[in-house]
Amino acid sequence: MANGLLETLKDRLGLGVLDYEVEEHANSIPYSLGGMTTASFILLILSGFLLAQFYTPDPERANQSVHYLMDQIYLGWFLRGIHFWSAEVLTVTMMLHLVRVYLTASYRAPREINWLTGVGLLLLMVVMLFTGTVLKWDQEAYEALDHFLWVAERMGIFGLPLTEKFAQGVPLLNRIYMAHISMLPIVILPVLGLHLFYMKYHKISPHPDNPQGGRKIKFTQHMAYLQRAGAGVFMLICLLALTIAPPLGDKAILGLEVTKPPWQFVWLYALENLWVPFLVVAPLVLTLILVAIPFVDRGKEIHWKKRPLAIFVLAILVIAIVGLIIWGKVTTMTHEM
Amino acid sequence: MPKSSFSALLLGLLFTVWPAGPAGAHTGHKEEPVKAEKPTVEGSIYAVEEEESEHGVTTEGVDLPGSSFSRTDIFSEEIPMTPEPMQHMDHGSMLPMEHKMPEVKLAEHEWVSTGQKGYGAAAAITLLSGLVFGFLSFKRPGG
Repeated sequence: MANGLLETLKDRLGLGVLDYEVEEHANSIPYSLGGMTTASFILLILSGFLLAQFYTPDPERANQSVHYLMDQIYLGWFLRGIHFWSAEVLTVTMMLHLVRVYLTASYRAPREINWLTGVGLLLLMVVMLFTGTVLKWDQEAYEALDHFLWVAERMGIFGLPLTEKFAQGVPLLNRIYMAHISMLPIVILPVLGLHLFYMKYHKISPHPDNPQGGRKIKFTQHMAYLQRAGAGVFMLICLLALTIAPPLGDKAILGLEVTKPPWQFVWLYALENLWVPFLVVAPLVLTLILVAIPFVDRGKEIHWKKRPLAIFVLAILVIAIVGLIIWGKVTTMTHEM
Repeated sequence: MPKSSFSALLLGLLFTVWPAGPAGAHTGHKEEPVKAEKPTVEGSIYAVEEEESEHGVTTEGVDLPGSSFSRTDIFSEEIPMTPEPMQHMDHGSMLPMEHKMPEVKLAEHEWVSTGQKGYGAAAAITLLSGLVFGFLSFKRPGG
């Protein structure tokens, strides 16, 4: 009887469309990193809904409203911890997903568009991370915004909408908050939808050890695996939120530069110390490299052991970024903006 | 100069320098004394109504119930909407490089205190998430 009811529900809700076959290797951690990133993003949205109930996007009150949430609201500290650690976990799983796709050459034809939508999502998530950092409006936030404004000013007419001059009288913090909770998610969701659609359309990329394809499983089995991965991600985030509180400083003292950015931006901070215009040049060059990858690498071989040049480029990039992050963490800024 | 010419010149001068105001008296224009007007924001979305209660007390400066952030709260300090030019300090020592600057307490990760509001509930949520993950792993969906 229960089976009959399930079958009826499946029929009425059209769940039968999820019964298509996928490669068995989809049910492995490397090929579920995108799913884990999506799980973190869903957690970010849900916790963000609740956080928005307590946040005041006013330069005079923003920082205090976050302190109030942390100290006075029941479970407020845990809620903010969930939001913060979801973003951290998302950063890690997203970067690992990018590396896995690169290593298995999954960006090659016919999956170029999926790679490009992935790069778009990466950029949007970086902007989300940046705007989220600014919202707490402490010293770190204020300095991050100051660096951003420096870049925006150098972008001329293209940077104007990102400055206060665009909407005089409206605090920039208000507009950043609007972008964080409304504009960016509205852009991210359709791009994520496209990313998932093209993954379904072109099917999951072949495993390098078995390019011709192997055993198949139902997509619903893959969804069950992703459910488990998502539960694991949620448990990890809860554990982190329960033990380590996200940093939160006092209201910013304007005109000083004493903090360093979150680790995701430290490599850029270190480059900026070498040559200030790197702040504009480096993200641009890195984005162009990422966009160009599927159009430059047109080879047929997908196993990483047989792609020494691609692996060399990746190794150089990873070593450079990790090295810059470490250097940025230990060095003292000497540049003048 | 002939007498008639002198009279004509005098008459011309009289009409020329005659004040323009009285001359316009029949045109319907009525000059009113200039008053310095107070700019109004009535009807604007930025208008702040200063409602008077039945007892004649305004709400300005009064902490309204349910409002944690009133106009007289601790956040009243002015903050410019855009950052000012930066002055760099030594990150390691926090000592000012040139002249004395205000001390900034850097935000860092801290261990969560078990005395936080709802710590028990948070621990229960974490435990529950672990149980759900354990259950789903035990089932081993899809291999």
